[in-house]
Amino acid sequence: MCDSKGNMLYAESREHATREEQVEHFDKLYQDIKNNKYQNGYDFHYDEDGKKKMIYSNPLSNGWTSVFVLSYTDMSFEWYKVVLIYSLIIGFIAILLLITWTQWNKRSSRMGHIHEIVHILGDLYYAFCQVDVSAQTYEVIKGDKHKLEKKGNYEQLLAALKDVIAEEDYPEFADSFSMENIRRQMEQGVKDFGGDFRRNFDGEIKWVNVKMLTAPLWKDKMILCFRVVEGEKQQQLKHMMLLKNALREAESSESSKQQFFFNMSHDMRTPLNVIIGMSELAEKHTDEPDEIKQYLGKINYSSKQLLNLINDILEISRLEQRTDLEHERFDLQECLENAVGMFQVQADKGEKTLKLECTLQHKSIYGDRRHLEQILNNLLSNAMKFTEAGDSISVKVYDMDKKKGGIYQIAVTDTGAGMTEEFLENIFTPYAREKRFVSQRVEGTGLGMPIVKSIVTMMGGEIKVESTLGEGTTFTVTLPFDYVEEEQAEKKEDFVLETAEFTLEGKTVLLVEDYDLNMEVATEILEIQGAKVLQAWNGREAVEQFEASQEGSIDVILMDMQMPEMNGCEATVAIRKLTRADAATIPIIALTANVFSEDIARTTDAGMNAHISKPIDVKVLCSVLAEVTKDKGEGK
Amino acid sequence: MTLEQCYMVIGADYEGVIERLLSEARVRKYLMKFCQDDSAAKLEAALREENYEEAFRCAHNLKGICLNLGLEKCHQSGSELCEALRDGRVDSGRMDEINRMFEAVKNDYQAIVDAAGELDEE
Repeated sequence: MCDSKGNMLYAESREHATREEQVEHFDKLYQDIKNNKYQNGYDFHYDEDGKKKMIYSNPLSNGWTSVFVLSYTDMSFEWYKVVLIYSLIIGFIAILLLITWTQWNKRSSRMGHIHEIVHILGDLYYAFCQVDVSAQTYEVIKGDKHKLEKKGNYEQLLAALKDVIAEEDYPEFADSFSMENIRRQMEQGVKDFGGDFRRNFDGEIKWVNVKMLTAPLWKDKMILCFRVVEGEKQQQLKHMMLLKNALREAESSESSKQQFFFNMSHDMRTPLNVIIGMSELAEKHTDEPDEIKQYLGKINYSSKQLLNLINDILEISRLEQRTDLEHERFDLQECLENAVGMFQVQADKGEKTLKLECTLQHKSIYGDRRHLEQILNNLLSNAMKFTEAGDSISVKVYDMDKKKGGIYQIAVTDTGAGMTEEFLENIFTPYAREKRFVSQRVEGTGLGMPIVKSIVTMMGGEIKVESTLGEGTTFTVTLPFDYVEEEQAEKKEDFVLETAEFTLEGKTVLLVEDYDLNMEVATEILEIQGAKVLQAWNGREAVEQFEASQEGSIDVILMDMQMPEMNGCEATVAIRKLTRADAATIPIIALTANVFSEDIARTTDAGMNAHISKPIDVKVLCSVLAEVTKDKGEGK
Repeated sequence: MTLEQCYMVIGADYEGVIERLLSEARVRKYLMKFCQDDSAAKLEAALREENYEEAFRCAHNLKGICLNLGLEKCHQSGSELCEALRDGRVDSGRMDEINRMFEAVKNDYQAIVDAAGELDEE
């Protein structure tokens, strides 16, 4: 501020300048003001430092002048600050609004969703009723309103229901849904008490399910829901019927089985009586060789018949216990040739033609060979029984490719006696003895075909029979088998040969056995196979002999277990302890007379590689040795 | 009688033994040796002397050779006796049982010796 002559009276500055500096600065400003450099009382100029400054001058009434100098940067800084603060506040509010809005939106869409679900669930039920247990009133939420007041006494509801619920179901319903019982259920915390009853829907009877829904929040309230369950109930009833039938069938099968065993016992008694009678007769005629021969022949025949019968019974009961199927690789053609070959002699003898026709794309298959053979045996022996001289029997086999594995069809056709329709009906039924496969002239138990049927079914196939009386019979068996791709088949064959080919030819065996006769027999068995046998008469001798032998000269040690002086286990431990290269690797095989009593675990602990049971079976020994030497990577 | 008939009479496994020893002559040879063998006599002596350890060894040997020759019936009775003698001690209460078992072995053994005596000359 200055007086009319321009003398500075008062100055206030943010810059810490001395009064002299302020005066000097002001004089320049005042000069510019006086020269009207700034218009309208305010304007801007650049000071010595080049900073843009706002100048504002105001002449006062007493002739003094007040001058304000403001830095532009100061002014703009303040402005930004203000804008920033306001925008922050606005932004914050906007975000808050946004969040609230989206949440509300989400909730309302979820509410909509829940509403939808409730609606769908609600559609399952044709009626809902809310029941107040303490007031004993009801309120219909959904349902047939013109037959029932919307609200009322619970007793009224029960009365209305009495008109529609089937007569035979109502007493139980009324009992279960009496106020008293409902209260009891609620007290016990039962969650979904309910059940099924039949209801009349305008003349149509349908099964209805009623459910009592409670919630922990409602103390004295619950909801009764009614739903039509006609379809489910019918299915359930059907299942029950099926179960009942199955049970009845099982029971009747059980009783027919008992009948069967009764019959079978009778059948067994016949040959047994023959055997007993004939042997008694033979005893009386001891000095008449011809007679005795005749009796013995009959005894032999009856015994065989009895054996067949017992075998068949065993087979039937074994099949009923569901034996496991093997899954081994074998050559189907070879299997068929073998099976048919077994009957060739019999066919020749009976002047029948027997031929096999194989049209196979894949001969090498995976499956249960033993059971397949059994099927063929039964079918062929059956064909043999029902044919006479001059008849012919043929076995035709062909396969069809399927996506996975093949389908094999085996047809056994004969030009024999054939069967009546009545007979065909029961051909595969076991225990149906009165229609069984027996005629006076034919031997057998009549169980052959039921056995075949069981096996075929077990193997996942099927069997059909066509027969004309006097013309012949064809049994067609269809079975699924996985086949081996040809290349793979050959490769496997080579592999099998490699491992299986272990001969004792030229091998040196140290045989340890204390009993001279056994030693002699075992030695000879091994020598037949071309092995050189060293004998040791007890465990101690075995250790000494092995120790004295040239390293690697003995190929295998066969060790008896029970021996005087030093037993098999002790000897093995001693041999394994020796310090020579083959002491650890030489295969030592235990020879055990009784695998049940002799402790197999002990042989392993002692360091034996394997054990075989006496008497020595060369095949078993070779395969065990092949296994053992394979594991060792073959020392030589 | 033939060897096969002989095996049938004494309840032995003819097919099995032929499969193992390959020739009838060989089976015949060992069967004769078995009949001349003193195991059974030794067993009887050991039992009489109440040397159960020795008796066990004899029974065990007998059992072994029966297995080799497919003499199943004698192997069966031999095994039972062998198991009964396994621990090497026999309480007085079990004497009867042991004796009964030995009788069975002796009978079976005798049946073999008898039948072998009936074999046709080769």
